[in-house]
Amino acid sequence: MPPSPVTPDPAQRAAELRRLAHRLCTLAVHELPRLAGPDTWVGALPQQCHHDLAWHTRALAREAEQLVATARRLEHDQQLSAP
Amino acid sequence: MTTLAYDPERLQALARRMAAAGDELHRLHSDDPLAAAAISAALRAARTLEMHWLPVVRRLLTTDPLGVLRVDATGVQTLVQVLATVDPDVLHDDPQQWGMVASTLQLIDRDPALHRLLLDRMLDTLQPYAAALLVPHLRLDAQELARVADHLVLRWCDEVWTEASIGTVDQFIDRTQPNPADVLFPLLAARPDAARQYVALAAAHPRTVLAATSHHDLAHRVVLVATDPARVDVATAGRLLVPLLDWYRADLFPYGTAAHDEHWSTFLADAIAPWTRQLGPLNHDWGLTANHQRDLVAMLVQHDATLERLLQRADTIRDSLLAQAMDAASLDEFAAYLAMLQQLVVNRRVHDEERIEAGWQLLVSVAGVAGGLLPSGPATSLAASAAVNGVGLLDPSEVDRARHDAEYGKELTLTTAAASVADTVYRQWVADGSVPASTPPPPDVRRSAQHPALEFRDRFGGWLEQLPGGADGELADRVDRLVSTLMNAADAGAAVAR
Repeated sequence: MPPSPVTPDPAQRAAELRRLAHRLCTLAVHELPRLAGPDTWVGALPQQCHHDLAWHTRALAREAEQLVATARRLEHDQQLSAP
Repeated sequence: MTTLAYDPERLQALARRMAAAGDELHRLHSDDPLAAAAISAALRAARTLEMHWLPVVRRLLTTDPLGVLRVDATGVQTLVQVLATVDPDVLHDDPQQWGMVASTLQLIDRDPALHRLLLDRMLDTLQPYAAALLVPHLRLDAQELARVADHLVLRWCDEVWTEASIGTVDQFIDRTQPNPADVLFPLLAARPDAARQYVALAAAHPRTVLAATSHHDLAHRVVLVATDPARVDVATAGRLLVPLLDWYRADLFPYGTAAHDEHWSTFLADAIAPWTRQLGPLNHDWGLTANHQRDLVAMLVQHDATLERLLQRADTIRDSLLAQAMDAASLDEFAAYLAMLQQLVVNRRVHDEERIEAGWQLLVSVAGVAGGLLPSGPATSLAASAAVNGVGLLDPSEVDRARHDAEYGKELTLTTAAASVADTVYRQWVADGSVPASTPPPPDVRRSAQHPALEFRDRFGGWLEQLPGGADGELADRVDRLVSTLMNAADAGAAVAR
């Protein structure tokens, strides 16, 4: 399927990126490190799992921050180019 | 970290949430190239979940790839090996890790073969204290619990003391040292059947009952529960108590394996209070020789605290006598028992005024149950109850007189018993119609008389004449025999007690 055209409106584009950032921050995956903690299992492998899940959730949080920063930049550029 | 166990329910929940989280990550979508990195991160997370950790968790739930979590013979042995290498207190004090150990023990416990294997391994392999910590999490019947407790406490008492077995010096001083008896005795005290079987096993080495725990009230509770007259018969009580009493008798100040028992003397009184009849010189319930009985009684009254406690437990002594059936022929045994109490409890040991009075009150109170010892029917029970309640307390002048006049004290005690018997018999006759209700009751005891026994005898003779058939009739003969038995046979008990 060909990619959908991205809207040329920077404000609308920024809003979509902010919505995606919010979704990234509220994913169920963020609960997994707690669920995979020592209340559930204990040992070297469980500890590795816990660290791995925590790493991925931090990565997703960083991507969400990036999306917000990008959205802010788009909005800022639009304000500068406004007549 | 050593892998110990897992919580199956939580792990199943984790698997479900991992699968749901992967689906949600896949559903994230954006056509904006500026979101490409974020979408890639989400897909990487989804792949990690779906291709790595979810299979691990599912495999763990179905095949137990971590090995030690396997609930089979190998898993049991591995678990015991792991437990043997860790500090049991550190493990026990970590709620998460200990919770998982407990979960694994419950899984093992469901399989009878694994249950037996675990018991064998932990009894022989683990430090007794570490093994004892596992016991509350196992389903043991009374016999198993008794056997396990006896085995572990004995091993702990007999093994070479090291810091691992008895803790540090500071722990010893603080009485916080690892001690299997401290863990197991509360379990035994809560289960009378197990306590009884445990004390029976431990009778071969009484120090494990009486000197192992750091908290002696625990040992006292176990013994008192095991020998509770509401739960054990006379013979069993003897089998359990006599070895413990003999142990105390052999070492009057028992400094135990763990700590000195400061309350052993009052505990002895509590333990023996329901069973004093068995120490009487003419009693053979426990198969003791007269010398053995005398030595045990002498030990009991040798310490003021024991004696004082016995006096405080007068109700228990009285109730236990009433609860143990006697026949009319046992009245001579009772008379000897009374004389023994009089000789040993009052005349020899009691010096201060308060305890003198308590001692005499005990004696007269016990004497008053004599009527209740007769073969019982409903009418007799009621009559005995009335007679016992009618004994009353001595006033200070009577106590003082008994203290200074041994003959008066002896007469007072035995005449009280005889009057109690006569009164009980009379009430029974009235109840069953053997005598008219208009027949006067037998005489009571006049404590103020110079010789209460002689005075009672005189009036008793007069009362016999008023019975149907007169003083030579069948009824008079029957009650006269009972009263005479009590008043004459006491000399035997007094002689033995001397």
